[in-house]
Formats: sequence, structure tokens, C-alpha cells
Amino acid sequence: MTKATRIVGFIGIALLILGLIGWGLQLSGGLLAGSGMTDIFLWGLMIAMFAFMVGFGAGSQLIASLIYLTGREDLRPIARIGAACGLACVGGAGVAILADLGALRNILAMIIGLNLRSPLAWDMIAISIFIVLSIIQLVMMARDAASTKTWVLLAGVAAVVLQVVEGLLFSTQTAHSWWATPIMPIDFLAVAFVSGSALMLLIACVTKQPSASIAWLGRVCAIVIAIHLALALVDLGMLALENTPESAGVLSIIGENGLLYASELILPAAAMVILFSIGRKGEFTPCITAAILVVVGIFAHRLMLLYPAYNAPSLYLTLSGTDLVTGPYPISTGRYLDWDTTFALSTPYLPAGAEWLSALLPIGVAIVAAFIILWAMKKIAKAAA
Amino acid sequence: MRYAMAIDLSRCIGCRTCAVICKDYNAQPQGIWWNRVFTSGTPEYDVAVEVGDQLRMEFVPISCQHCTNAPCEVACPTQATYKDEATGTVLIDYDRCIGCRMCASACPYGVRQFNWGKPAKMVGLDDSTYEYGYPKDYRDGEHLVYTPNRPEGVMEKCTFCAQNTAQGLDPACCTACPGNARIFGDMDDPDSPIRKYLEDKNPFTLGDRYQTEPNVYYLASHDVDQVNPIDPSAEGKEAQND
Repeated sequence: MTKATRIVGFIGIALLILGLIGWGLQLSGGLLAGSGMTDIFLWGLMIAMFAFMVGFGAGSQLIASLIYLTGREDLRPIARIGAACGLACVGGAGVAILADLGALRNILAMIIGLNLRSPLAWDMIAISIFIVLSIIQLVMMARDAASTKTWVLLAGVAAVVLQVVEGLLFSTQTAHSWWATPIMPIDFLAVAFVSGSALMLLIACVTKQPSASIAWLGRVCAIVIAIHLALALVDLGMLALENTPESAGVLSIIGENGLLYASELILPAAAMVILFSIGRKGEFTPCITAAILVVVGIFAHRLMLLYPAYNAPSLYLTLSGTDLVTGPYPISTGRYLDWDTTFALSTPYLPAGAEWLSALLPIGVAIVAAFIILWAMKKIAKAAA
Repeated sequence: MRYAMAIDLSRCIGCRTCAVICKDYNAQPQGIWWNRVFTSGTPEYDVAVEVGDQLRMEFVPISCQHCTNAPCEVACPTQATYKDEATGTVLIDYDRCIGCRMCASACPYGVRQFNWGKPAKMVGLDDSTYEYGYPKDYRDGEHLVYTPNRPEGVMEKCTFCAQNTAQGLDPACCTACPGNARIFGDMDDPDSPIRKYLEDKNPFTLGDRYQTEPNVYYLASHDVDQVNPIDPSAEGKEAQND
């Protein structure tokens, strides 16, 4: 184990411990009381982290599958790490969603009373299938089995399904104009490719892979960023053309969060320009810079899933007997004691300290899990040899 | 049987008795309101809007719409939110709710309320705490749909006062409304008070764009025959009327 690897491992353990402390603070303070969420802003940092992690997980698997299917022998070591990261990140995402539940004590109802009409139920099913196929695939990879390619393909398909289901989870919620768009499931897939290729690019740079391999990953990353940005702009255009009070409300909230929205577009766009401009050179500094820009940009993108969705009102009234749309209708914040505001159209959302801390939990879990998976793969490979 | 409620806006005086009795009777913790009343289209409560050359002030009470096509019921992964087959009422089983808040995200009416922490006791003037509300748990079969001691981290909302309707009584908001603006009953029964009240009237529902088929019906506060002042063609219409 190299010094750099050991450092990453220790960081993972530290994040895991800090995350557990944060989650403990939230639980002891009265479940989610230690958060900035309200009955208007219902999902916060942990759900953004869930979407962030699941994107990186599915994306890493997709890149691993792409490497195997395109026969890039030089990238096989990266594909193995990608597949391991895929499982680890999806595991971290699973932890994020469990940590965000208000009544984890009732989780058994998720098994005995699963509602198959619920997109969240399908999300859990998709995650479970992905985890099972991913584990089989990793064992086959470690043993260098003849059927490895088949399992890698199946795990890739599971990653595609996972991201589409993830997108449907949001897009089927018609109460939120920002989510209820046919672009959402497609863009979730595109974002997974962006996230996965950026993570693999980062790992390829850190592990000093050949420049041709780095350049290939850079080109893949640049192309999928272009697709994602095109989808994001089409989505914005469709919203602008909708011309309803609800869509106008969403556009107004996007304007209020202009910096965050600009970050989710400009940072990946800058990364795309860098990656296209270096061509086939695969240079370390521009590639690692681009990868970091993408990671930050995708985090902003995941946060921006929430602000325009929750802070744009969904219910506009018409003065009875007229066609005069008179405006949105306030909602009870549910946080009178903390906020001193009983009813509001929107509430500001800034994650509380405990939320920031607990959001480290899924990252810590993913890093530690990645180490355990890679260690287990080595053991299996040794035993098979 | 299909329980429904009619709210006659021409009878609503905006006193918010319905919201207060609902909160009290259903032991809603601090900060939680199942029922709310605002004036339509105004930046503050109790403010009129200008329509043509008139001022109009319309109070619109909103609580759970008990939709036939309830998005919250579809969204709930554990079937904690379910539709009572006997009455069509949308209820939440506190023992099954995992607190994922998917249902509240799916609801376009913003009527679902979450217990973010341990529900705080009400504090009296002498700093002592007191309890209020219907004092006993109520179960719809095996489902715990009402308890005065609200569990942490679960969702709650209007139940049409399930503890009352099970005894053949009206929801508390209907009984308490001083203007008799709320009428409750079985929409499938032609002799029910709600069916008789809505006879020959033209009720409307909220949020039709979401296709939820609400079971709360509203009646217009006025039979209005006036032009919309923000409609660009309004001037032309006015000229025609003159």
C-alpha cells in the first residue's frame, strides 16, 4: 500500500467517524431537528449527497463497463477500481438515504409493506439489484473468470437502470415543475457518465496511468459533459416556454440561486473546454483540474435539484368565478419554534452544522468500502491463483 | 362510500376557527397546521385584491384534499399512506411511516406536515405544560391513524377526523365553522348533506393541472360576471359591454 493510498484510507475513516458524530447529533437533537429543512424545503443536503453519490457510483460502473466492452486492455486496472468505486459509492448513497429517514425504526415496513407503485420503492429495488450484480462482477474480475465480460455488461445495465429510475423518482413528482420533465431521467444518466468519467480521470491521474489512457478518459468525460450541458439547457428552455405561474416561480428561484446554478453549468463547461483543448496528450495538471471542476460542478448540480423544486410554489389560486390567477398559496413551515414563521411561500435553506457533518458519512462509507472491496479482490485473486 | 367535503367560499368569513379547532382537536404539535386559511392572491392575510373596479377579499381554507388519484399514496414506499377502501379517505399509519417525506414532496397542495423532532408540549401562562386534543388513539383496523402522542419523524395531515367519522360524527372543522361553510358527507349517497348542498351548484376543485381528482369541493364566493383586469383583451371586452 503506497503512502498516498494510506492517506486516502485514513481520510475515509476520519470522514466516517465525523459523519457518525453528525448523525448522532441529529438523532439526539430530535431526529432531523438539527437541520435547516422545513415542511416547505423537505429534502436537504443528505438527499443531494445521495444523488451525488449514486451518480458517481453508477457512473464509475458505466465507465468500467465501457472499458471492458471497448476492449481497452490498458485501462483494465482502472476498470477494476471503477467497478469497486461503483459499488462503494452506491453503498454510500444507500447509507445517505437511511440516515435521512425520520423514523428508521419503521424500516421493516419497507420490506413487508413495499408499495410497488412508489418510485422510491423501485429506487431501492434498483440499488439492491445493482449491488448484487456488482458484487458478482467484482468476484469474477478478481478471479479473472471467463464470464467476467458478461457480468460487467450486466452490472453496466443495472447502472443504467439505476440512474433512469433515479431520474424517474424526481420526474414523476408533478407537484414540482423543476423535476417533472422528460429530460430528467435522461440527464440523470448523462450526469452519471460525467461523474464516473471524472472520478476515473482523477484516479487515473493520481495512480499515474499512461497518458494515452488518461487522454481517452478525458475525451469520454468531455463528450458526456457536452451531452449533459445540452440536456440542461434544453430543460431550461422548455421551462421558459412553459409560461405558467409555476414555471415562472421556478425561473425566479433559479435567478435567486444564480451563483449555484452558474456553478453547475460553468464549472463542467470549463472542464469540457480544457479536456477538448488538450486533445490526445493526457497531461496530468489540466486533466486533474478538469476532474476536480466536474466534481464541484456536479455537487452544485445536485444541490440545485432542491432549491427551485421546493422554493417555487406549486399551488396557485384563481379568484373564484374569474380566470384571474391571484398568486401562490402559503404553506405551514412546521418549524415555528426554530423559525418564528408559521406560514410562508418559501424558506431559506442553509444546511445546519450537524447536517454538514452527517453528510460526510456517505463519503466516509464509500472510501472505506472501496478499500475493503479492493482488499477483498486481492485476496480472491490470490486464492484463485 | 366516498367521503367528501364542500367548502362554500361565500359563507367563509376568514375567522380561522376551522384551523384552530383542527389543531386543537387533533392534538397537533407546535408549528404543525393541518388546516390553513388565507386570502386568495394577497401578499398578506386579510387584504383585498382589485378586480375590475371592485375590491374583493376571498378566504380559501385548504387542508388535505383526500384525492381519488392521490400522488402521496402512490409515492409512499411503505403503504403508510393509504386510502381507506370503505370511505376513500387518505390516511397515514404512523407505525408504518419511515419519514422519507416522499409523500409531502409529491403533494401539490402543501398539506402534509412532518414531525421534525420530539413534539414539544404546549406551555401555559404559568410555564406549566398541558395536553389537549382527542385523548385516545384511533386505529383504522390495524392502522394507527391518530394518536395524541405524536411519534417522532413521521408525517401527518388531515384525516377528516377519522376518530369522529368512525362514530358517525362530522369532522371538527365542519362542526365548529360559525358560517356553516363546510359540509361533509358521502358523495355516493344522493341523500347525504353534501350531495344535497351541491345540487344545482357548480363546484370546482383546486390544482386541476395535477389531475389528482380532489374530494374537497369549493363553491365560488360570488357569481362573478366581470372582466379580468390583467387580460390584455379586457379593454376591448369592457368597451363591448358598454
